[in-house]
Amino acid sequence: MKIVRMKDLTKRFGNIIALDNVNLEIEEGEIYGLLGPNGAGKTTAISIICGLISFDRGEVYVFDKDIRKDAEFIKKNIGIVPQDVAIYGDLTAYENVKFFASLYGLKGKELKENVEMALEFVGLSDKAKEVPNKFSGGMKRRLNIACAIAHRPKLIIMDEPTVGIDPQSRNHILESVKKLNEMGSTIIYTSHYMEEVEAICTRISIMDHGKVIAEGTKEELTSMVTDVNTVYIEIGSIDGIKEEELKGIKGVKDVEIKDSTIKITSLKDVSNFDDIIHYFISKNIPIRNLRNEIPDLETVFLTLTGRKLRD
Amino acid sequence: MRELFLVMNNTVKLFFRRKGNIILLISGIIIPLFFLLFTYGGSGQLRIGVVDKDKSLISADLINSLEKTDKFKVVFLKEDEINDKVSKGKVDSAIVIPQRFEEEILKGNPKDVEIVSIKGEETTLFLKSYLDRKINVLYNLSKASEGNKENFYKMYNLYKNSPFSLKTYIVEDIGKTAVATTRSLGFFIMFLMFSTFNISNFILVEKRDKTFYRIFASPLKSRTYLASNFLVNLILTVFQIAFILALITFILNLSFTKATFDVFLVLVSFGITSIGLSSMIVAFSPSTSYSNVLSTLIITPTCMLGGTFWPLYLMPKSFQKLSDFIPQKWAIDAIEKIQMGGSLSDVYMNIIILLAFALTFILLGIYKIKTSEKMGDFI
Repeated sequence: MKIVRMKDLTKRFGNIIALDNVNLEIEEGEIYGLLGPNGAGKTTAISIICGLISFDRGEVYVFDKDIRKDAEFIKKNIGIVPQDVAIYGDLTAYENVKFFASLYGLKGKELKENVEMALEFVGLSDKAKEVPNKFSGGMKRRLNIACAIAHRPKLIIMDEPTVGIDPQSRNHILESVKKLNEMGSTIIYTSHYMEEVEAICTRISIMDHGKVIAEGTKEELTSMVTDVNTVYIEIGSIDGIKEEELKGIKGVKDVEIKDSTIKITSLKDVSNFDDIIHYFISKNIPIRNLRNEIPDLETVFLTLTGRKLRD
Repeated sequence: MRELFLVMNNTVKLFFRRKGNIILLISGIIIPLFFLLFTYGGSGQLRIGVVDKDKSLISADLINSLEKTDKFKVVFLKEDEINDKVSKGKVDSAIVIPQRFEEEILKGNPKDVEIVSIKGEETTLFLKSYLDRKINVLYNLSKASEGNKENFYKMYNLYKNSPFSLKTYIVEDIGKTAVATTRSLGFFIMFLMFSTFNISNFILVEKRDKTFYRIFASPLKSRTYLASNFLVNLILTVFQIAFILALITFILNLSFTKATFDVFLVLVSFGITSIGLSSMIVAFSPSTSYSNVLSTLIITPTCMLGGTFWPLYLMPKSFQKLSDFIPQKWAIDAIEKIQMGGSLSDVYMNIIILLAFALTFILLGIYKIKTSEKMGDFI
């Protein structure tokens, strides 16, 4: 089932086009990444999926239902982790999760169990009776997640959930995302940290200026910008190395020798790693270091837009 | 319905978790009461300096009747002492009964009793009102006796002993306590406005803290959320009004009468107007800092113009006319009417005007929110 379908979605704020003919399809069970710099339109897209703001043109279906007609059903099955921490600083962690979960119709024993489960999941069970005003940034972010998952939504939307927190809390959150996905929720994850998106997302859309400029798996995206693979090999001495011999290995396009490092560029589709290693072993030349350079999403974005993600 | 109670419960919880809210709530009750207790004293008696230049039977009787009311404490003065005693606050005001007072009354040309005060008309109003009524009775008796002194005294004695004689009721209600009560309720009205604004402003606080975003991502309808804020505001307002009226009644040792209930109704009507106004301020404000400034800019000057701090007649005529467009004026006016012995039938128009203000404010607020929703910037 398609969890989200957007067709020619356009949204304007005055003269600014926040979303420009966006087409997206998200399958059930995915961890779908929306990658793009600030102002790319990620949060607007999310707000439309959640039924929080209207749109000017196009169609949006969530759980195969039209957002304009079945907003209540759709909202009931979505959990949102907003970009800004959206919790009550004066209510305890337990009261926060309980209140938001109860808005989704949960009550009695089910409500209590789900609230406890959500706090347990984000590792805040022991802080349940404390008020978030005294929490660290990371703990607040975790509570922000707990408030979104207690009603066990089919679709969880996480809008930059790791902004401004320490690496430990970030890892905890990323692990949580994977776990939630394993437990059956489809996840939409937005970020401008490409490392995060690369690490957890099964499919990714790259957005810029309200448009989806590229979409696919990480491999599909990187192959869009390059057709070569580059290996850097560091050796003790380059005596006995012949450039022509290296170029003769299948798939090798180019060889550059500089000091004690050899840069070998091969066609991406050709698997020649074993042959290259074998060449050095056969010549009895010990390899000190070996590095394979694969283009990352940052490179993809840079190639597609001419800008860096965090510009 | 369940959602409505859920959000109301949450709003009440949040309200009482923040110390500032509780302080505002309590000061809204305590400060007007302190004003009542300390500015006007607890006895409720006005000290009246009296200079009797006539020394007639009628003048003596007039003075005697003042003392009998329990609302005035009479202090006899010499004429040259008046300014000193009044300016030093030894007496609240002084009256001078002119020479030939009795004689002129018998002739049918009653002379005015001169009243000296530096506390302004709010202190002298009720004294003057009392004296006017008394002199008016004497004048009518004089007319009825056609200037005949013997007949006049016969009728006067009959009047004094009659069960229909001028009741002390009026003085009880329009005496010093009435002025003090009106003024302290004036202060209460101002605090009530800040208090209702404070609760309406929760909507903008939730927007600022982004909980608003999360709430509206849930299936909760925006009208349920707005209604819950309005209802919590109304409940806390009614509670504050009931509480301050109970305390005033207790402190002044009054009994609960229909008048207390009438004042309660007037204040609740004003409370609804105030909630309407604060909801409108919040609907038109993009942020909490904006709404805080706007509310102060609206509440304080309108309280001044509306006569909550001082009587309206102390202000220039143009300002008095302007006050017709200010809800506080209609609330204070209604309270004064009730204090003067008026009933609900005398103030129903004030209540209708207040509710009309409320309706206007609420409709303007709803219009703004609906427009914002269409524009997609309500959240």
